[in-house]
Amino acid sequence: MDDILKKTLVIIPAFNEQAALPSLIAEVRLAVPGTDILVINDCSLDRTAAVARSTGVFVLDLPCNLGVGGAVQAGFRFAYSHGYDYIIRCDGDGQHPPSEIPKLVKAMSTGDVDLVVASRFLENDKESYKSTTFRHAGIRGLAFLLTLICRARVTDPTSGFQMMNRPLISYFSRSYPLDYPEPESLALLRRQGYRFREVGARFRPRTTGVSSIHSGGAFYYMLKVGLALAVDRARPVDIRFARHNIPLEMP
Amino acid sequence: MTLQQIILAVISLSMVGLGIRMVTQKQKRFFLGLAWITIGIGCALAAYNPSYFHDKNAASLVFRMRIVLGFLSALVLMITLEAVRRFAMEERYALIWVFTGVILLIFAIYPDAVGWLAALTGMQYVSAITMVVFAFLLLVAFDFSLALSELRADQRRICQHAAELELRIKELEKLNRPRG
Repeated sequence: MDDILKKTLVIIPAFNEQAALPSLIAEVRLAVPGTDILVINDCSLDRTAAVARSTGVFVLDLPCNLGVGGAVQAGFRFAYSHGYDYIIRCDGDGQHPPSEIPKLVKAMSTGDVDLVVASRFLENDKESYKSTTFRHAGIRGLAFLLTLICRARVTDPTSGFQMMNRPLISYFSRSYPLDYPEPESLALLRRQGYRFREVGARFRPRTTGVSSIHSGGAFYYMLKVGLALAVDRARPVDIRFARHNIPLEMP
Repeated sequence: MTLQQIILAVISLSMVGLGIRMVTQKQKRFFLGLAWITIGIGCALAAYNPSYFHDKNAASLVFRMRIVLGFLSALVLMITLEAVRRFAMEERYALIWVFTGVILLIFAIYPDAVGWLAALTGMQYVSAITMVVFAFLLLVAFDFSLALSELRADQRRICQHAAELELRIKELEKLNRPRG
């Protein structure tokens, strides 16, 4: 496990998270000591970048707001060009508890997966995550749809708490969905021949900030993701970046 | 004399004035000035005697529509070409506007060109023209959406790259900070 962590980068996409970041970074350092951390500041309106820099981590300070997909992809590109073999994504709002990271690393260390997703719903413990019924129904519907598309069980399609290896980093640094990327990226990677697995994890209620999917946006979310999933099926597989063809070295 | 006639007379006289100024200016735009003078005189005649053009088939709706369409296409073409000339518009985007203008001009000159559409749908000339114009505006809007998406993708790349370069510079500065 330690040799994996040496080549791992923890990426923390953050938008207006100056309050939550210092404690989150401290938690990450506690959970996976010695691992490099990259905070991606998606053009926050507060002092997110300065706060992150003062803790001594790497900071990508995006000059314009790209949304979650663009911000995370900036992290993928950084990891790819700097030769990291693994990425752990952990959101800046504190919903993804770093203490659960070892579970991801353990699942990844078996070596037969490219992506490990932490799922809120895999453990039969209803107390672990509370959500509005409407949102919950939406997530369940999406999970069912994705299970059909991926031909593999998906319980938490919107989870951004993930760990991936270099082949997938290489693919995602070239093409990654713009907004609400998680469900679509699952379908994409599956189509390109990558493998994923879910592990149960306990999430926290968000401590600061607001969800990128506000109540009015839930409907738009479903529409957009539905359209994206349908269109992706109509696209040919990009054979250049399929699992067995992916270039692992720098071009 | 009605109010409309008076307003039309004022407008037409100012058009003639503008035309004369353009013809006599140092930086000569002779033909454009001449066109303004002609239009002005025409309008002035119509203001003086509203039934002046009636015996010249002007009362027909199609004829008047053709006039309006002709002006519209001339306007589209002129503005587009001027924008390209001043490097305010790329040729790529100008092309579809020029195409729109030319199509409008064709329909203004040969009203029969739109006849097949009118025959096909049972529409009148005017509604057929409206439909064609609408279709072209849709096309232009679609072209914009394509261009916008392309720009967004480019912007994302540039933004990510700029952030990475900035991070590299900061790391290099840390290494090279002068000692002492």
